[in-house]
Amino acid sequence: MLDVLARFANGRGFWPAIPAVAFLTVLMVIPLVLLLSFGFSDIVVARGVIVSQDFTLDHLTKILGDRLYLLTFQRSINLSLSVTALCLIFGFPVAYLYLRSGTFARRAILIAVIAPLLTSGIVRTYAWIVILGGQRGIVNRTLLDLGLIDAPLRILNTHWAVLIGMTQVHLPLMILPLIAVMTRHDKALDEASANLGASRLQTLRHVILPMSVPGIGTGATLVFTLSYTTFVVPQLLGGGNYLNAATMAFEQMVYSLEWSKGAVTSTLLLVTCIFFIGLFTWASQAATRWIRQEGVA
Amino acid sequence: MDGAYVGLAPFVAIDGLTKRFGDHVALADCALAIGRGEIVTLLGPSGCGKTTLLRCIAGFTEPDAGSIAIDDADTLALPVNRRPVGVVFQNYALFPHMTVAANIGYGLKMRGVPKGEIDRRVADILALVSLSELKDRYPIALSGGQQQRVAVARALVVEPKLLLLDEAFNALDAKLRAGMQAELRKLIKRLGMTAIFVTHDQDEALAISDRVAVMGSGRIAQVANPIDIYDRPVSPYVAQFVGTSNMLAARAAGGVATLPGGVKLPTSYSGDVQVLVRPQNFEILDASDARAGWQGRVTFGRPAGAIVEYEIDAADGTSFKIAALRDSPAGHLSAGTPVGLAVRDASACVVFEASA
Repeated sequence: MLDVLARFANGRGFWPAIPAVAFLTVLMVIPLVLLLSFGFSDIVVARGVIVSQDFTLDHLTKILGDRLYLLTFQRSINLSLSVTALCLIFGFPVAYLYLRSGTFARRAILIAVIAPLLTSGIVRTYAWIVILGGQRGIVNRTLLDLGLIDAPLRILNTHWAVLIGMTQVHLPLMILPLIAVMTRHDKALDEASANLGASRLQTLRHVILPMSVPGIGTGATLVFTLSYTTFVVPQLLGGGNYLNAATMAFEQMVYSLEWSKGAVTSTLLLVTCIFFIGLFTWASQAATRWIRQEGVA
Repeated sequence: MDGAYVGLAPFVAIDGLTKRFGDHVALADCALAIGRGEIVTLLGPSGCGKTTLLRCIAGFTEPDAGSIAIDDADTLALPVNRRPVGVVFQNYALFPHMTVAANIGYGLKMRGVPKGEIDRRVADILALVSLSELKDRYPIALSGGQQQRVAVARALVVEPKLLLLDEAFNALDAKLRAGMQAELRKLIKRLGMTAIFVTHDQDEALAISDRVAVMGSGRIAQVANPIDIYDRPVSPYVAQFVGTSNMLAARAAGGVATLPGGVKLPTSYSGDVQVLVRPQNFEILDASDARAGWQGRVTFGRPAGAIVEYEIDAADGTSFKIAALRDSPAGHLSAGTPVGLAVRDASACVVFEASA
């Protein structure tokens, strides 16, 4: 560690990274440390200035002892895992279609996947309000006109709206890593599989799917992280009464000005998120030992 | 020079096979008959159609016309995953995410063979190709030669009727190649397997096959055993593709073509002809020797093991490729040496029509 610092101080080998490191230190590391420290101290503010900060674990124990907080985190984890699973279920066929397509169709798929990313997530979320909302939303009107339902469905401002909206907003982040993996796929492996008696479905199951694991790992990490930490989609589609951990942290910080509570919530959010990223990474590595085995087994 | 299949009904019968890719004719009316237990090599330069022919048999490519029958059964009617054909791919196409044992057992698993029997048959074939101790490795941790043996074992374990090998030795270094060729030929013969190799390497074709099918422009130019392909090529194309050749212009009249030096060759052609003379069929004489049909100078000599390969330019500008034993008197000629050349054995020359 000291050695690294000494080399860093000398600037040898590290100097090209210094601007970026300085930028991140000032704008990310310091605020993050400050934020985390809020969760473990009693803050006394006088005339807008923090005058005292005494160390305490009260906020942490209070939150860990409160069932409401734990349920909120549980809901957040469930929601994010569901979104990740749905993105995989909807995204994998798209990536597989990409693999099986010609040059022109591939380009079309890529444009269709990337285009939504050029629109802000907030705009896309508002679009879902139009689609799902009330009696005059596209979904309800279509279903009513077709006579499939008698009364409009209540989708907006529920868990389902958040799930649907989040899945759509984050879907490209699952598809793109999968497409990156598919682009490298060797067609000779499909032919070898068919030659050995496999149907197309068996080839998909036994060759293409296991070889896509690195892409699935990357995609799952991206989708989970963003789903777990976003408060925009739940606020807009959940109708202000749908609480997940990120929304809770936001409300504690911005609305009720309980900085210490908010800091603890943020800390727990960060820690659990890192835990899940680690879990995905471990699972992906365990399923791809074949990439790394070298020399003697 | 009998290239046709001799025997009972052929085990593999390919007839009238045609395939076009847009304007490009990859296969033009190809016919080939192969006997049970025979090893045949499709030999030709890239783009000659040999790989397309192989892919048609395996079912990866659909021919436009023609028929393929294996053991009297119409093969083209079968879907790709039901054909009784095992393929060893160029670069092997081993599944990188499966161990050696899982790669080899894959075909059995897809056929629904019970696990216990898969393990037993995989163990048997691993012993056959001497890979038992590597069964738990992934392909990335194998050498090129080991990968090739896994690919062969994977194709053989499902007991196909026909084995297809696409440039099977390409990825191996030259030293390993000759050993693997001999080993693979022995293995295939021991199992009584019928096999088709595809290669652009004439040495490989001559070393490994019972018969060689030389292909060019989507057609099979000649099918014959390796010795006849070399000694009795049916066309200048075959002659020039297989081995080193000298094509000499000559004139034929009255059923006899005459080469300089008074060599007389019987022929049914008349007028301008081309005569094939292999490099070792020349005798290098003193420049003043009366038997010499040509006079020339050594341009350079390249020692190649037991022989020396000379390039000798005649006075009229013709360039000869000539081989001499290194321990013969002609084995140590330096560049610039004037020499005389004569054909040793007239019966080893082949006469072609000049227009061909």
